[in-house]
Order: sequence, then structure tokens, then C-alpha cells
Amino acid sequence: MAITFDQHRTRIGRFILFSSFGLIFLIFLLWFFSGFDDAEFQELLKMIAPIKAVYLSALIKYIIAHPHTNDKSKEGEEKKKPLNRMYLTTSWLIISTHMISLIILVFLSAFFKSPSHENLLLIISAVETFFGVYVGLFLTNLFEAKKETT
Amino acid sequence: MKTNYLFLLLCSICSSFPLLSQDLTADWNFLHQAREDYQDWLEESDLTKVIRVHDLIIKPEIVIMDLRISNGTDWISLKERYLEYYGTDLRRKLFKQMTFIFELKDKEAGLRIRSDFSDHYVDMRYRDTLVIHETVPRGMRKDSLQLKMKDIPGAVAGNGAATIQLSKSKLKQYFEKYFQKKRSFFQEAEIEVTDETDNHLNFQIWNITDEILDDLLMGYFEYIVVDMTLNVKGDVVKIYYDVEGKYGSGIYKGPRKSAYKRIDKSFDKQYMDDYKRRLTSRIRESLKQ
Repeated sequence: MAITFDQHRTRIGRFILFSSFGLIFLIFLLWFFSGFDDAEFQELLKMIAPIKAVYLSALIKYIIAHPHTNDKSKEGEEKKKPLNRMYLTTSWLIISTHMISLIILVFLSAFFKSPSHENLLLIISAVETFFGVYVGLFLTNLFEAKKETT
Repeated sequence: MKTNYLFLLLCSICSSFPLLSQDLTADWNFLHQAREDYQDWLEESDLTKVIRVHDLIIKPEIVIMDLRISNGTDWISLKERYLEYYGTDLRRKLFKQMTFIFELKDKEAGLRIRSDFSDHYVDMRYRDTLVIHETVPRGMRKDSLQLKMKDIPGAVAGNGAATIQLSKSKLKQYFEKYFQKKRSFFQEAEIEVTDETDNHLNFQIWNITDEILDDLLMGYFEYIVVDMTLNVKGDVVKIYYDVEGKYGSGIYKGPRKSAYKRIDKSFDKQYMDDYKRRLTSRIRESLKQ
């Protein structure tokens, strides 16, 4: 079944929203169960929260700019056309790998202390650096907040 | 006229030589360069893992070198190793090297060493001879308890060595049994006797929770090191002991040993004091069995 730009955007938006809140919730939960001590918890939040805030703010900005269900502009109609397979696969792959790898890393570090906390912070910076640019490109494309025309 | 020029020339030459000038603050540039050289010497001597140059205080009559050490225990251990390998007191070497690099007379130099954890200090000043004031770090002061031989079943009066062996084996047996009962949620507690030579008994316990930090809702992994030295004098057995507690986060597994953090630095001192009291009564109990 062909997926349109709007459908894809909604799915990606939902994924980013839930996974970002999920990751933050997971960090709190693992801290509660002593997976991280207070200092580690603070360091981790200081590193993760600002990055996730950037992603979420792009999403929220878009939601606020488009409060109505139907975008009847010419550009809006364009976005109802089916997307090509490469766009779909690449955007899903990059965004989901990025989020899932962060969740797995945090989980492994809290449960098995492997990677160690120092290495966890290093790997997270590497993951953010590697995926940050690509995720940013897709987010800009998907959630560009132009004023809605009705 | 010529004499005046000669005098001026001599004065300017004198002021360019640090050793000849009276006011040491005039040699600010030279002394700060020497500070760099001193740090280089520490690095070349492989001492910077424990000691580093922190500050240099220049007064008209004295130059005080402010050194920092990571903690008192590391410093003591380095000092002992240095004495063992080079046959020289490290403190004297640090002082002598300072006077050499800074081109100072002994009485113009002062050296002070402070710990990052504020658990140790050394002050050195030359007054006819080198005067050294040094604290004993808290961690090096062992707690102790003593028991009469008649209170230790099986102790042989008049045979100190046998009594020490008997006490050590009682302590080992008791603590192995005690800690085997303990565990973390997913892991069995591990106990390892690391030293039982002569009159020493040293053991480490890890993969254990709620032993020292016993009132946390979700406990951390703990790593405990107990170091005991037993002595017999007359009919009294004296046990000096020291306990160090560290903690580490983790749910299924604790961190590697080097990643544990000191409990007394992150939590209230009371936890360690209470644990020492509990340990004292356990040692007494084990020997009376």
C-alpha cells in the first residue's frame, strides 16, 4: 500500500514523540531502580534532554502551525501523493536506528554496566553526532512549519 | 664618573641574577618559569599521577610551592614505594629539587602539600634543619578492639603465633559464612581473601547490597574491603581493623571494581561510622565462638 507524505509524517511524528518521552521515562525508571546513581543520572539527562528537546520542538512547532485536519493548499495536495520507497526506508531507518540505539545503550548500561557510564556518554555523543545531521535533515523536510493555507 | 657607570652596571647585572637579589618578588618571571620546570620534573619522574603543582606563592623573603595530591592514601603509598625503591624520603626529595630548580637557599623555600579530599597535609620549612609537619590520613588510622585470651575459646596462652592463627581462621570462617548469606537481587555475593600472611587478614566483598547503605529504597551494589592486623601482647589479643566501603550503580550487574565510588564521599559519614560499629561487634562475636 502506497504511503503518502502526510501519513509518513504522522507516523514519524508519533514515533519521535513516544520514543523521546519513552527514553526520558526509561532513564527516570532505571535511576529509580539504581541503574544509575545520582551523578550519572544528572550527566545522562544533561546530555539527552537538550537533543530530544530540539527534535520535539520541531515537531511541536509543526503541530501548532497546523491545527486543522485538511491542508488545501497546492503544496498540501502535493503531499498527498505516494512517497517513493527510498525516501520511506531511509527516513525510517535513520530516525528509528537513532532512537532505538539510544534506548538500547541506556538500558544495557543500567542493567549490565556495559558499556560503563563513561563509555555510555562517549557512545551517545558519537551516535548523536553521526545521526544528528541526518535526522535533522529529515525533520526539517517533514516538519517544516509553514503557515497553513485553507 | 666611570665609577658611577661601573656601579650602575653592577647593579643591573646583580638584579638579573635571581640568587643575588634580596627581594624574591623581583624574580617573578624566573620563578614562574621554574614552576613550569618543576612540573616537568614531576612528570619526568612519573609522580604526576599523585602530585601536581597547584600554585606558587612568592613573598619577599620566601617562595612557597603549593602542591596538590589526589588523596592522602595514594600519597602515603607513593611515599612508601619511593622510599623502598630509592632509599630517600620523597618529601625531602621534593624540597631539595625545589631549591635546586628555583635556585633558592634552603631557608628561602617552603613547600606545602594539600589533598584534593582535604584528608591530608604536609608543610615543610627550613629552620636550621628541614622541619616537616604531616598529618596521618584518616583512612590510615585503624580502629581497634582487644580481647582477653580467656574470652577466645581454644586460644593457647603463651603461644602468640598459634593464637593469631586461630583468631584469623575464626574470623575468616565467620565472615565467609556471614557474607555468603548476603546477595544482591540477581547475583550471589563474592568474597575473596586477598591477604592472610603473618598477622594480616584482608578480604574484599562485592556483589552485595544493603550492607552499609542499609536504608535505601533501592540499594546500590557495594564493594567492601576489610583490612585487619592482629597482635598478641601478654594475654591480650589486639585487632586493628580498617574498613572501606564503595558503591556502584547497576541493576543486574555492578560496575567494574575501579568504577565504584567511595561511600563516605557521596553519602553521610554516619553510614561508615555505623558500619564500623557493627563490624566491631561482629569481630568480637566471631572470636568468642
